[in-house]
Amino acid sequence: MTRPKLAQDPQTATSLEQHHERRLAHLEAKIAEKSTDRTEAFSDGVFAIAITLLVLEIVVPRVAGGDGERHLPKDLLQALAHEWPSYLSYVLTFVMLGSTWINHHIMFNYVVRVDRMILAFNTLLLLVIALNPFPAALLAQGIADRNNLEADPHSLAIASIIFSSVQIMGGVFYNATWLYAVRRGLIAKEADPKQVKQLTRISLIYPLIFVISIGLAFVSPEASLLIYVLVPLAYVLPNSTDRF
Amino acid sequence: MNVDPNQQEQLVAERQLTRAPRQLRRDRGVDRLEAFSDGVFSIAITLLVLDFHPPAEGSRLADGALLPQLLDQWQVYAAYLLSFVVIGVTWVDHHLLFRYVSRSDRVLLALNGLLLLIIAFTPYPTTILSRALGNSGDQQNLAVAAAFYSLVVLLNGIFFNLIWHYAVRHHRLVDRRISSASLDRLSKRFIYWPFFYLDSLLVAPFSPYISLGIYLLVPLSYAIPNKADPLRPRTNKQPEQKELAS
Repeated sequence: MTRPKLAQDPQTATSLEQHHERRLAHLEAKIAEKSTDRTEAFSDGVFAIAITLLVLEIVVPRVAGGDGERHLPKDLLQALAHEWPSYLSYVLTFVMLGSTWINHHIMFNYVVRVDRMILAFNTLLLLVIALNPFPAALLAQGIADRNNLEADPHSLAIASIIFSSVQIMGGVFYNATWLYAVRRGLIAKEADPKQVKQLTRISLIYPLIFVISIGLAFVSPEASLLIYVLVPLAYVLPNSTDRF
Repeated sequence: MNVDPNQQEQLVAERQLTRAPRQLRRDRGVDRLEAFSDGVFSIAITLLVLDFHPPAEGSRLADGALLPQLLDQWQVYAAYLLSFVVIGVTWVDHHLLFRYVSRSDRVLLALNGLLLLIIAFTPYPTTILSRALGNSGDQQNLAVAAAFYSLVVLLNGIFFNLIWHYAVRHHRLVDRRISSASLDRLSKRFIYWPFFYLDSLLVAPFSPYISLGIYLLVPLSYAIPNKADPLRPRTNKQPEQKELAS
């Protein structure tokens, strides 16, 4: 493979050409050394399966008991509307996992080599990712129990604490993967140190926010739900680490 | 067939771009996005089968009862086929879209995530629909189920168009060498989807069966040959094979 000729003089080189050159150098590094391709493909698979299995936690309304197993209740519209906690929890968890995937994607724009340890950290992250349908179901139940007098009044708080704890575990392994890669020089040589620092900062804040949401759950579990809405949105917004 | 030679040349050049093997593109910008999306599409389309249940679960079937019992579940098969086609057709167009869109940014990933949110959700309205078709005596439930289904697929069409328009606007994430005319042709191809589905949503409260029939028009529209379609099977007349080899 021959490299396309690019302007040598940095003054005349357009930013696009520079971008392509960096991209190419980055590609060559990937080919020469232990590439991250399979790690990315495997992670994509786990993320995709976890995010798609969330739909199985949404309850299909039905008439209770005996023959009614597969029959819909009389007023379907009302019955569907009644399941709103399931939909809310589905969207929240989907957006949460989706934003983690986007950030994982950005992280592996920087990480160009893998070794045994980083694979282990990444797999631990995936362990938590794949676990997410469970806290999602608990959260839906917790929200539904708010208006149920027979249910545990702390149902939502407990669900929220478990949900946040899972996000913290994910955040910890995400940080372990990233910090290990930075320590061991598994990231691209061309990477801008400023961007690397920024990425570290962004990753470290993530689990801390969920520590706060656990604290909030004791005061107002609803407020911790607000965090679940806002945090993934913040983590989807463009920032200075995107251009690489 | 009269084709302007300039236009022909442009088309050949574009075919090369949209069909070039990935490693020649210098930019792996959408590889992971495609891998992740394919994962979600394939799992969602496969989860549809979970609606199938063996007849008379847990009890013995009377002799000769199997066939009528299997036929009795027609609504499960119908809903399965419908959703399989909806997800499958979306995947084909998603595949087509990412032959043109060769770079990604955070907003694109997020918009694509919204589409996947709907794709992954599709098994749920499918189950509701098949159950509603099952107790066919209840027309009101059927109308609600058909409208719910239409709403989900309408969102699917809207998010798909959002991805496309975000990516092609001012060639934001598309190779500059691809002409605006080609992009416009595809814009037209994608934009009528949501309108089909909007129709079926509006019709659902009055006639659920017509509403569902509208969905069959979408795969039918795929049978109509389309000159702009880069996935169209090649004919011997097209010179691109030679062009690619040189």
